[in-house]
Amino acid sequence: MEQEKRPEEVKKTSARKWTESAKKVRGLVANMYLRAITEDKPVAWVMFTLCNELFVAMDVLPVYPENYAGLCATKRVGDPFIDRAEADGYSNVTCSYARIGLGYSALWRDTGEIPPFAPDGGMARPIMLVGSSLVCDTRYKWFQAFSRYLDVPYYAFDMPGPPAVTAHRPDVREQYMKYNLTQLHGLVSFMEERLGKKMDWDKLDEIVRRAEKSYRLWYDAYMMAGRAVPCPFPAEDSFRCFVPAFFMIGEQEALDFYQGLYDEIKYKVDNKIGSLPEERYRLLWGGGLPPWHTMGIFNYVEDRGALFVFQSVYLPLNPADIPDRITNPLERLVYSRYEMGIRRAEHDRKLGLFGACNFVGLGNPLLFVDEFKVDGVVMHWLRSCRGATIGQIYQKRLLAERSNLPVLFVESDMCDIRDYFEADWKMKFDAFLETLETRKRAGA
Amino acid sequence: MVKKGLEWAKSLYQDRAQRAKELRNHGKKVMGYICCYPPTELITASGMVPYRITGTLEPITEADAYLETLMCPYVRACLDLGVKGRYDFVDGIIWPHTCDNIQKTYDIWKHYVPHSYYHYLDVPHMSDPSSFEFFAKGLDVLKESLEEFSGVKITDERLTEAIGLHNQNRALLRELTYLRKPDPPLISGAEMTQVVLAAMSIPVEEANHMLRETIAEVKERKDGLKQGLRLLVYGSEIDDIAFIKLMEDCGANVVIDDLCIGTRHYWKDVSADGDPLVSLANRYLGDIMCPRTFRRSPGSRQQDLDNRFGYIRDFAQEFDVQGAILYIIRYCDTFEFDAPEVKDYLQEAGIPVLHLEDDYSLTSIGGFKTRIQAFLEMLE
Ligand code: SF4
Ligand code: SF4
Repeated sequence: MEQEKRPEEVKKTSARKWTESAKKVRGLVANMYLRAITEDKPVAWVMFTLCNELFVAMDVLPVYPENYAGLCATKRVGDPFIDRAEADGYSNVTCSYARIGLGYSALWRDTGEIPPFAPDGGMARPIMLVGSSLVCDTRYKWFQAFSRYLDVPYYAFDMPGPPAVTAHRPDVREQYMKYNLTQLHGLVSFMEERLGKKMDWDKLDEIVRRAEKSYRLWYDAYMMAGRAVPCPFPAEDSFRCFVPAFFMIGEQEALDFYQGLYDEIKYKVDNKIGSLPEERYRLLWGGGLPPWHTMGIFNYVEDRGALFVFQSVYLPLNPADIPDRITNPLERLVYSRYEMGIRRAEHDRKLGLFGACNFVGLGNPLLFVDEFKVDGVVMHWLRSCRGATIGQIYQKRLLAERSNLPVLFVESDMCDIRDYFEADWKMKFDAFLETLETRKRAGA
Repeated sequence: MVKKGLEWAKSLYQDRAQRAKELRNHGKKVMGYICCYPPTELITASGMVPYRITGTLEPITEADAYLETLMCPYVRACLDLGVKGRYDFVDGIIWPHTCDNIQKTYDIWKHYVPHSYYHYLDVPHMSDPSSFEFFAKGLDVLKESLEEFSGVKITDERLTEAIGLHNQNRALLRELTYLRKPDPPLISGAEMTQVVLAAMSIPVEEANHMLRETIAEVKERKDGLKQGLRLLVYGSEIDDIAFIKLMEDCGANVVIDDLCIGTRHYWKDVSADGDPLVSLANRYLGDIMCPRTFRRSPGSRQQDLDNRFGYIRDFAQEFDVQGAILYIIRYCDTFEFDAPEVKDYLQEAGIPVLHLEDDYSLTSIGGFKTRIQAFLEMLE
């Protein structure tokens, strides 16, 4: 119905898909919400916390309101939720994922019904909420704010990333690992209590190992695609294909998905199958979440001969080989996160950056520009997300210290379309591509 | 003439760095810190002068070349001063992971603001037993690093002594705060902010001396303030008197606050018993009531709210306020998320609330005058 009514908008909103894998994601997402509503299993609302494995092991269906907010934005049905949250006092600069989630819960509480315009049948009623301080403050504060609308027990936990400077000190490593482990144990106890059953550690072990394989495939597939000329897997596809890794990791379906993605990319790379007939300019999406409300903008750029060959935002962390001596699955999980964090921190340190990584590497864009043969970098300032916005100017400055690669800033929001001005974006992209063309000519 | 008490505080407020610079010229090291979370006791115990980094309400002229405008204007203002060289007299800096805005500015500060020493202090967001243990360990690493930089061994005795001095400092600030209880109060909100900022700019012994003088002076006051509506201000880093003065110029008295440059900084002491590092961890992580620290719900929704906001209601009752102003610095997410609930909570306790969100600049503050006047009229 919706599509019949607003054909141009829908067409403009989504981007074309270049890979078969990317085409599969929509179905996986729809199923994620559907099964939570139809299957007779407990549901948890969870923030992306790098521990989906625990939910899979406990047979809980996780629903991720941040993913759901993105879905609402792509369908352009987020506004009523956002309006409602703002009417309840939430500032228009608080994370638009959060505003959508809070508005959704407010409307739900008011009527006792899932709001009728909620896509994919809505988010099923949870029996627990799980948030964490990983990546940004919103991730535990937003879920705390849910308690205004939902009478559902909430568990929040810390998983601090290793501090770049002292990460290697044995005492510091022990300090971080021990804390992360205790915090995760807390989550397990909370779940056990809510569910009235114990964790099956053997099952968790199997799931954690399956997740490790999936992470590895995800990482290898993404890196292979970024390096490839021509590029078979542009950023808009990779903005889809991270979804199983974030929200379904540990499930067999996620492993199958990444095996499929890996095989598909490998085939295309081996056979030099790219996306555009000519990659006149190779771009990096170097910061900020994409504009979920208008992914079609990627096609605008492509129609002008430029391809985003990589995005350094939803990035697989470089997976670590976990020593066999670590047999406890929770310890394996913590070890791998810490090691992944260290790799990112190490890279940052080589660039002279010293902060704690908190799993967001400041050096990310710098990591890829040379290796992936990039002609320019685009970063997106998000009005309502500090986590992915602060540091972009710094990154631009760091890039300028090392090369004269052009950087373009565009500004809007990941979900709140009121912050998006398409004419402005198009003008900026046109001018940017002209600069790249001039440089190309000068270099040729 | 040597200034005393309130005059001394006012002069420090106007030129915060004067004493720190002087001491530095005499060979003392000045250790900067941002936010409420780095334990100043460790700095004092290492023989250095703790100096709170703040911003200014003046227009930001240089920081925009380093930081996005879509973030906490307070942090931007701090960096603005930093890149302009206004913190060059600071030998080192302790940078805590308190909120996203501060955490993400650490590298940028380190890259562009020259000091001889930098330390990043991870502060857990949770407050479980394991979080306190983690934080105490982090303080131990900080202690070691300060020892190395200062060349002074921070023994338990030295640390316990520093804890005593800082507890005194907090007790004196509380004593001064209680002089806001009478109607009219004996000291204005704007004066109080000046005193708190001044105390954050000089060695603790000197600050204690200044506070004793100030308390004596204020107690003697005959030309007290005028009676007016009594207000509570809730918010974060108000490091300038302009906003509080605006309310006082409108005829109200700000008699109590819940601010970082205010009671949040001095309301709770560090326990003098037991392992000093554990006591510091308990106080800084557990007792600073900032929304950046997650407090596990003790049970029902109401208990959760009481646990998180009950102290604000208690402040309001104890200081007999007629209204509360929530002053939220835009892009400060942890406060932005709590503010609507704080508003509901206080209103339910019968305290009228005006919720303002602001970019924290002189021009924007001036723009609130009409809303504040309207609120005060409503309270009359
Ligand atoms: S990183 Fe940004 S978009 Fe994601 S939850 Fe945090 S504030 Fe929201
Ligand atoms: S005002 Fe808020 S955002 Fe700014 S530094 Fe303080 S806690 Fe962080």
